[in-house]
Amino acid sequence: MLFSPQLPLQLEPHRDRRFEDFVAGPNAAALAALERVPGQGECSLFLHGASGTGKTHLLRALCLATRDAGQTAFYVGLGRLPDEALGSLRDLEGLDVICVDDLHRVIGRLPWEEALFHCFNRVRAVGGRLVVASRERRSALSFALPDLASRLGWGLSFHLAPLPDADKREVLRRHAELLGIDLPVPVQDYLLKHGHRNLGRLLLALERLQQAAFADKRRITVPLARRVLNEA
Amino acid sequence: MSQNIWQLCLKHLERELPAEDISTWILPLQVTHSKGQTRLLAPNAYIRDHISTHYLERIRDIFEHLGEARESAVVEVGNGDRPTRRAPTSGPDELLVSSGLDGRYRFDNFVRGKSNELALAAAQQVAQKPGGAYNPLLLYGGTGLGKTHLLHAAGILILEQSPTAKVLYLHSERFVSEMIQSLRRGSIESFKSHYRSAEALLIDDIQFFAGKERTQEEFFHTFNALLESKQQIILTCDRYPKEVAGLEARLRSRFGWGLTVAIEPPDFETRVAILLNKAQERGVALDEAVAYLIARRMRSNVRDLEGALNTLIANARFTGRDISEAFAREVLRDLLTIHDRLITVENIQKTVCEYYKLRVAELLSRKRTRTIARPRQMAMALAKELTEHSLPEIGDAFGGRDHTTVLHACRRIEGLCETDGRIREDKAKLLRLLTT
Repeated sequence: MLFSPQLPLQLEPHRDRRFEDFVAGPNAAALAALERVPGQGECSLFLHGASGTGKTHLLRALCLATRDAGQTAFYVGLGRLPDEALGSLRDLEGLDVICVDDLHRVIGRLPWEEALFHCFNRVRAVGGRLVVASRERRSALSFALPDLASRLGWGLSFHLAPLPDADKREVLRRHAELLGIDLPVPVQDYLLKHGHRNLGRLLLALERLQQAAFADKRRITVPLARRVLNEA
Repeated sequence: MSQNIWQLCLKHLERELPAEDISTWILPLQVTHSKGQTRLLAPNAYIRDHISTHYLERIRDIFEHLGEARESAVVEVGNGDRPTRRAPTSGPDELLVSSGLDGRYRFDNFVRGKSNELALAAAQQVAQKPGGAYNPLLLYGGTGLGKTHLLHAAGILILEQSPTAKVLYLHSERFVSEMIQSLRRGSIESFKSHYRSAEALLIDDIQFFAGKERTQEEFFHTFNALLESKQQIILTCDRYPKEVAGLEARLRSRFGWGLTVAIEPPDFETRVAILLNKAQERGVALDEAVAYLIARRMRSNVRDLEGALNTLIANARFTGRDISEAFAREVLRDLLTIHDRLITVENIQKTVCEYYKLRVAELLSRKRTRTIARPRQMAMALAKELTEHSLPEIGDAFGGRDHTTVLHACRRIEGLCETDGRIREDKAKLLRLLTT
């Protein structure tokens, strides 16, 4: 299993990610399900997919969409929280939508699992909506609390597949546009062929490429891309 | 001014802080204005403390800059004037809500089978004659088998028969946390009288009382008081109560005074019936073959069955496709997986070799005869599809081949899948072998 560290995917300092920024590719059903969350009643949703498949993007986008609809939302990234932060999962049932990211980071730790279990029950009891994302699929996680595993299996479950190259190219193009750089097709080809298959890492490479071009005052070319990838 | 101050402050913060911080910490706050104060209401104490430590000073700076008193910005725990959320119910709503009951769980939508018919009969009898012979009634069994469903259904039936009865449903965790809060507030007496005056007290998942001595002490007295005055108690537990470590002996023995009934995992026929019933409830005509497929593969609990069905229906709606057996296999690929195997390049090579009756050494060799080259291309294509390795990494894993070879292999297999039915079938079979 690939346990690469969580990589920051900062599109722009002051821009949070939205549904319309998401290149769905094979994951259209998951996107459709999430887009409906603000407009529907009680539900729970489980997303799983490798690093770089857009889990955090979708959860963040759901929070924004929920707030746009005049409701309240809260995002908890379990990967970043220390153990003392168990309290972050308490009393959330007053909120309309709760997004829990990086579930795989706390599975196997009983206090966290219990806190999530109670959070789930309380949210469900008041008809709230809970969306949980994990790198591993549910059956591959070693739960300490079977009750939690079973609760998470109740709602809808979607696997986020890595994007095929054509969709990755679209992500690259959009990201280049956001960064305000010109990314010629041969460089796109080069990055897709030689770059990391993980989308997060690929976009980081693109950002390094932008910085290198800026530092050298050069245009973005295949040789520059080769150099940047080799330096990584 | 005060109405706008928060909007102005937010604009300042948005210019200074990363969007993720704003979205995680600042936007979940409810904001109310009263008596010259701007109150930032956090959902819980953890968030309040985080705001106080990291952002409050800056918020107050901005307030000052905008001509407001620093101290007029305060952060506390609260929900503002938002209405309290409540569960969707049908029937006599108000009664259900104040009882903590969920109207979706009724006896008439509980699917009966061999594994649960005793528990169902016991719950129905107790609900028809609360405080009678079976007190307490304790239902135990694994997670997701319908204990909570029966608990709610019994509570609802008791209420329907005598709408003025005080029926209380709660999860053990809420009993614990309410008790702790009332101890803290010095209102333990009202906590006691609240629960001791219930005509029926239904507590879910009592295994969470384990190790919580003060709670057990309080619950013990509540339990005795209710039993003495013939008020009904119904409890659920995830295992036989005598097996719950950390539960006091006197409680364990009292739980056994009434009737203790197990719920077993549903048998195949019941699983099929559950799927067909739930589908019908959702207005979906589910093919029996699909119900058989899911019921054969998901054995352990009802909740998983429901989750699989919900996922299947949602996918069918979003993609506009019919729910066929093939569609179910495709959508539920991950859920139907029982034997979890790690998908690695080595694993793919091994599986492909077994499938084509080759040795791995041959697959990795330089030989380019069709009988070896085609399986090698297949394995490369599968490695690209199922793992995250880069093309050069995949090339390396196949005896140090170039990434262009991998790319060529992937394109070749992709092309052949469109023109050659056998290759397409091979690939589908291998995918199934590797992912189920």
